[in-house]
Amino acid sequence: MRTYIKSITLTLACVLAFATCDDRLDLSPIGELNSENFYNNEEDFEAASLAPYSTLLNLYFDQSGGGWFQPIMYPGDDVRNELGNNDIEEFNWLSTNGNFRNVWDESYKGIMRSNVVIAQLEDADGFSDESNKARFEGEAKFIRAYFYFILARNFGEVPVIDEVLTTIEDTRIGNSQTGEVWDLIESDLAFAAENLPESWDDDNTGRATRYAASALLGKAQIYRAQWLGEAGKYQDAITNLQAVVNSGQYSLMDDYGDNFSEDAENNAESIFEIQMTRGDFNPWLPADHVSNEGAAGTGRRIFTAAGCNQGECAPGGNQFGYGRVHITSSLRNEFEPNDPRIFHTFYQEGDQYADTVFRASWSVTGATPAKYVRPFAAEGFPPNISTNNERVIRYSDVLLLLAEAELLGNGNVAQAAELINQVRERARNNYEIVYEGTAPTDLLPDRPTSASADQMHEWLRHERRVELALEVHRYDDLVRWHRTGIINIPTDVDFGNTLANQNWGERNLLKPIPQRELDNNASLSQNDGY
Amino acid sequence: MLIALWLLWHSPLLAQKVALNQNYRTTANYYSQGETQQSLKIVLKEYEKVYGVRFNYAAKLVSDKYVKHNKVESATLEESLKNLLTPLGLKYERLSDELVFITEDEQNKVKKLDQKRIGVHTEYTLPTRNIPQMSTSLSSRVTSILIERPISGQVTDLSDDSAIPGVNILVKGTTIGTVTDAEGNYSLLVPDDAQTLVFSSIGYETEEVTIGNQSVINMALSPSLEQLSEIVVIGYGEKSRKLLTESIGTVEAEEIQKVPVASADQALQGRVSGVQITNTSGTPGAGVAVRIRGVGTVGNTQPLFVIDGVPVGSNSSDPTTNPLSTINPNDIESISVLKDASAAAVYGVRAANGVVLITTKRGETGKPTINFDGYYGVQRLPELYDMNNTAAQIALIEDAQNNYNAQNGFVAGDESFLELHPDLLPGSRYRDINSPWVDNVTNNNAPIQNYNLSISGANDNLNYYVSAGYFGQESVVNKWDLERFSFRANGDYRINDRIKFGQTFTVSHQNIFHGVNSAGDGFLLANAARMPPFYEIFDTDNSVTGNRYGYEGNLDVAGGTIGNQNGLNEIRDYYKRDTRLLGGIFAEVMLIPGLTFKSQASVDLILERDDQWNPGHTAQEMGLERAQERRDRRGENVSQIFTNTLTYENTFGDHSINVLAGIEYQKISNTSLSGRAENFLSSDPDFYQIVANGQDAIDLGGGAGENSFVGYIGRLSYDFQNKYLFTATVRRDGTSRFSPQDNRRWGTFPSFSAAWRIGEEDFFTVPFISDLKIRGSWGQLGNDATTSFPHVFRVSANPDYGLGGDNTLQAPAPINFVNESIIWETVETLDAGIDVSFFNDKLNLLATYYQRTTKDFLINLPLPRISGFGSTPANVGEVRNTGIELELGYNTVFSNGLSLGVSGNLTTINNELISIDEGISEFTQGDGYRTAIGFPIGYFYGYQTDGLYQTEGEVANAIPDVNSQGPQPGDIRFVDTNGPAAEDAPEGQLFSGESDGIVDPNDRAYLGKTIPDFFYGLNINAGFKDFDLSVLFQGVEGVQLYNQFRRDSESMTGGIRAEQATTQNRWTGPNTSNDMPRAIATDPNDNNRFSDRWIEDGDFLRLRNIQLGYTLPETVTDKINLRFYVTATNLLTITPYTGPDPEVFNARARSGSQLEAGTDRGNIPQTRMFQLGVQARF
Repeated sequence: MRTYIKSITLTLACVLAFATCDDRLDLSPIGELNSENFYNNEEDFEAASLAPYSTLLNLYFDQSGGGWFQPIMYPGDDVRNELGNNDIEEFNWLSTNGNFRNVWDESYKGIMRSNVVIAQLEDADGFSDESNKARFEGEAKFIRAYFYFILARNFGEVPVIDEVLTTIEDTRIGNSQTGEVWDLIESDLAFAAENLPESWDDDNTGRATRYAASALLGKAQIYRAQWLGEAGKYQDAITNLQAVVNSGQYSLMDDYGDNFSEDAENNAESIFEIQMTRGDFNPWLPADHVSNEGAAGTGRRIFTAAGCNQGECAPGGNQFGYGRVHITSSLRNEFEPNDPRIFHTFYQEGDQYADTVFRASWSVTGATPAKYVRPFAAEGFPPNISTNNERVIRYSDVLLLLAEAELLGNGNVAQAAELINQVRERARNNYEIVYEGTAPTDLLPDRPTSASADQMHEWLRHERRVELALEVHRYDDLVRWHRTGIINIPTDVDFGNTLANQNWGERNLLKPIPQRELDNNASLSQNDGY
Repeated sequence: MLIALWLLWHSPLLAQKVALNQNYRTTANYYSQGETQQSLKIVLKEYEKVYGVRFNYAAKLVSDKYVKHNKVESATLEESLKNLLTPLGLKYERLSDELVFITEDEQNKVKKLDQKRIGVHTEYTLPTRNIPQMSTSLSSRVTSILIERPISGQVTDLSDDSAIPGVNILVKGTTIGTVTDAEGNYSLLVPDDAQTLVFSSIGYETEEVTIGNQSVINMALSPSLEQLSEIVVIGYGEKSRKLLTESIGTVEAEEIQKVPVASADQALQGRVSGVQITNTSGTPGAGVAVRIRGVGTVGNTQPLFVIDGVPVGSNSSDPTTNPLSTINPNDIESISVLKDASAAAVYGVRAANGVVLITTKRGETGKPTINFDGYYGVQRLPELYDMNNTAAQIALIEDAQNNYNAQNGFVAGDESFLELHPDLLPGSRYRDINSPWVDNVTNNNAPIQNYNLSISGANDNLNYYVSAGYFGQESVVNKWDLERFSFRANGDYRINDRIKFGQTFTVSHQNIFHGVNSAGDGFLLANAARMPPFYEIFDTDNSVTGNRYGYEGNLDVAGGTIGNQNGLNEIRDYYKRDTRLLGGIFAEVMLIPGLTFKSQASVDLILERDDQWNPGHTAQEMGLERAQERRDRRGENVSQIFTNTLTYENTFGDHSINVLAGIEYQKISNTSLSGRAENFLSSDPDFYQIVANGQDAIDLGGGAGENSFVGYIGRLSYDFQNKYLFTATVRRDGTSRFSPQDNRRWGTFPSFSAAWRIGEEDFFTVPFISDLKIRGSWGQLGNDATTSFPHVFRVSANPDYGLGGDNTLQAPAPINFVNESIIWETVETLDAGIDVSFFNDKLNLLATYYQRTTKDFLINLPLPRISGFGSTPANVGEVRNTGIELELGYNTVFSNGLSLGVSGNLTTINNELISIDEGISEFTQGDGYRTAIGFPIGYFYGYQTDGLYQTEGEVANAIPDVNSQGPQPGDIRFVDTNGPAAEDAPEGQLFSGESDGIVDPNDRAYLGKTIPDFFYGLNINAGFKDFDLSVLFQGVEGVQLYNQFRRDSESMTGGIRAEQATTQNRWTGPNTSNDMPRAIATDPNDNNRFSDRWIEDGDFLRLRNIQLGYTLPETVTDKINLRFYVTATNLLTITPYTGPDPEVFNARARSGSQLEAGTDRGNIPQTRMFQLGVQARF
């Protein structure tokens, strides 16, 4: 009652004396945090620092798979669409393509969120120890670099934004200079590698570590060496990748399948994972996913599980999943006979599939992905949004990258062979786990250290392809090898699709910058050929 | 000063003074703040009460005469009448103590024009009712005449046969006369030599009748169609139309009732120049897009709606429904549309798009009136899309696949070889299915009904209007059933001569029962139209236990799985309930004569409840796996308004002034709470009603927000001799939406207007022009409609991320681009017009030129995504709307009793973006709505086409196209119109303007616009004997639409979803077609890109409404006035548009942006309605 009277009194005062009315306009948003009441102390940043990570989810949750399988996975030669009618797969790339736009949009959203954390840290005054800020800054810079790395690989010389934009004019900046994006990626990751802890306690598992930063930095440096012809970067890459190896924290899992099993997330082989937590809902139902802020699991199982082909359906096929991804014969043929990794990579005729037997006729190519899908039990239907973490950097990837840097940077064939052979050995040892029998003696033999550098790189390319198949590295690998002259895509690559082979051109080394961006930003130029 | 007045009002001294002056009397006009003068007739009525006399006069002597106040302490009747009548060229004769005749003063006779001089209305106080006696000489003279024969009869209204009380009947050339009683009857003794009787009454044409031998003379008077003397509601007051300096359009109750509408704003359609009303869909309760004088902004373009002084519309959480839909149109007395700055400026920062004032009915003096209105009707869909049947669809698929295989050299066995799905091959049972998906979801002859009962009346101290209404409308597309119950109680009460108070209240309850049909977006209808015709609606084999609708039969048929939305629509039950209390109380006090203080407190409370029940179903049933789900959301939206005004009006000789000062404070707040849960032990509604009874996935949600406004209002109206009129208005407004920095919350909005009534000048003697006024105005208005708090760095706690396994944590993230510098937009309006009446006001013309320039226009600007955000509220540039408004009315009554009124209006618009602020470039929204300098806002922007490639030879010479994999015969030829600007081009120039030998995004060009060149309305009213007819045409010209439904359904790529039958005219060889391309899977030439192929002219001329009424003759019905009518709505539409309805407005764009406005996604079209109604008055 008292407040009511006060309110009436104030209103009357407002009516009678003009000046006091101004106070009545002092309202603010309700039910939200803001820059005044948040971003002040360590506790705030424990939460705020997760916002950039949260954006990672958006790339893997999308009703139409816009974030990853179409724009990132299709262009490679490992998989193809169920029918030959997909613009992305066939390199008929249009600047109006919504899937490319999704990659662009979500990456810059993650960058914005990182920039906000970095900027707010500067003004935060509730820290018990100022030096604690560096850790949060390191995390934000790690995610920022991760997204710029995606942007650089897909769109080239994209605008570089490393601060919070405050005017609309600032949002109209143009393409960056050659190398500028790579510079930022490197400096961000270097900062993160220096300021992030070596590991996290159980409650914080999932945050980036210094070795995650080092691994990503080494990888980016190899890309830079090959994209920009800066061979010196191989040495930097070796330093950073070697640091990961030398840390002793990581090792190859005995069971290759652990890398894709929900029961073995954040394992010793995994250097950085996207933490998927909210699952078990159906992405096609409207309003289940209330915001696009990043709050979900991955749609990987839905899109890659087997579907239907000309009226023949896998169990739980088309009505539950899209069955949009099929293994090309080119990938199947890449595997050496009896490679146990086949079991974890794709299903083919005769494989146990749920409670039945896989039939090649379910797929246009006769094989569908098993990675992240196995084990596919009958009770696994329907394959709703899954909470299985997406592995971003695995130790075997680091080993192969290090091998490549040693090979191309130092011509150190022996070192490369030794690293490759670590990966092959683990694969070889999986024969028993997978097939419960004794491995054939000639299974995945070690690569001889005496081979030529070219031969060794060919073996390296083979190993990367089979070890990391479907882990969305493939097209990026092809592009960088093409750029540095190791391969020539038109002649060396079979995309498993006649039109894809026919249509591929140099312009496809980069994706078109989304037309919406160009239409709203006159300073921005389109990549060549679009 | 305000403080002083406030205290004065409260002081005991003053109260005592008021109490003592029990006999203080005043004129009725005292309560009408807006007026500076009073009609003579009303003053005479006042005198009748005060002096206890009755006046008798020829109506034409009194009508059209106005008097001004002149306050003296007391006066005798004689003094008063002398002051009053002499300047007007009138005199009086007192026939008895109670009867006074007023006649023309022969000695003081002046020419007609001079009769328009203004008399002086003497206000008076009378200590007692001591009426001075007059000399007896007059009475004796009269007595000597009164020895003649009696004549009697009844006077009725020609238009509806109702009796007219108070008609003056005078023997021509004499002062002998009488008036009709409440039933319109009169009797009179006339001298033997009397030739002619004159019947006159305000509001009716005066009639003369030769007496001859008749002793009974009945007379039917035709209503006077003179509009100019009407009173118009303006912001915080009212004004005589003759004295308006502003541009204001009005619609009266009669017209509103002619068109059966669910929502009052629809009644404006076609009736007011400058106002374009577009229905957003044929769904009951759907929103209406209102555009006053074009589109001043691309942001929020809806005008401000004010109902009985309460700004409404901004406090509903659901932009897809109409803020006015809960107001009963039957209760509306008038609607005023304030179009220019001078009229709207008193609403300041929210008035930029114009203001629509809605005034509800109040009781009128006379015996209590009971009104009943009711109608029942049916709605029918217009012709819908012609879709392919199964055979045609399969042929199209096959054709698309064959062409694809042939073009790429694929043969059977290739992985990419396309072939018909086994389900579609000859012999498959699916080839025999042709399901009527659209018929299944439509509901032709859906009923619409409305019943309304009101009782009103008034006496000297109070008036009342109470009503109850029921409105029910089902949708032509299942299911969207709207029911509305509304109640209203309006009243005014006079405590004494100084103080009056009153209230305006309405309570309404609206309930919409629907399924997945989400209204407006046409989703359900468009989806049904595009369902593969070989898919079944119902299962034929009932293979699923408990299957309610059936889906198993469609599982993966032809390689597709499409949810059975028709079925989901049936089994899901959603309710959308709005309970609304809208109204306020006011008190009005006369502080000193002429000075009035008014205080009004109002509230607009909307309680929302949206609840839904989704029964669980399996994929076998519906194509989707879904658990039982219950959702329930409650929202509370409160808007409180407190308005205080002081009005002073007075006349000093030839000078009249009216001054208004006021303060308004409004606070809008809302909160909501929602819950959802899955899996209930019982599917009994009484059980699942309670969300908390759910077993799984119980989830809570909610939201809240608030806004406030403070405004200081000032207005001065001045006129000299009623000839030279001037109004100045200023409002200083504050809004909570913007940053407190640099005074960004406050704005001052001035306006000025003036008019010159040339027709009143002595020198103006054009005989056929009865009135002439020129007027002009200038002013500034604001618009703050945007997302609130764009300057605040807002952080949402919603995003999350998992750590330590599956531990989900909040990951608070920024949700807005912070734009601190944002302010309201300013609209500067220039307005010049002329009002002319010809032939005794039979023909009226209004012509106005307007120019609206919007500076800093406010929009949710699409941002480059590199900012991390999709858009932000921003001040962007300058937009100009110019045009002309014309209104022409002609009214006449023919000698045979046929009355005819024709009124037409036309508005032209030229919308152009003048400039874009530095740092902001041209921008595009949606598929291709571009905003760029020199073009209308949100114009269509895409590729131009030039027919089809017909031969290999043409293809060989084709210009390269970055979006094409190389054209083939039968593909569309896109035009190379433009190229990038040269290196040395001036900064800001993006294009060369010349062909550059390649078709690429630079070649996109202007394809059309969503803002019409002009729109118009034509209204014809006719009456003959007991019949009346009204016809309303309405049209729009020079506007384009984006037919997105056609883009989806003429894609020619051979998907299983049904395409339109027009695809059967596709290119199949040289010269088989030059506009419908070949069928080809994957569309390698990108034939379906956004181009002029999808842009169509959306012009239309529509017979919006036709109504024929019949009023029972009074002899049949005695004391009841009974009228029956039939109405047809949207009977005829002439349009080149190929979709079912050219009246398209994207529902999302209604409250928000003009961008994307003209997109037809398969909206539910406007229906044809046929109604039968009855109106009864007791």
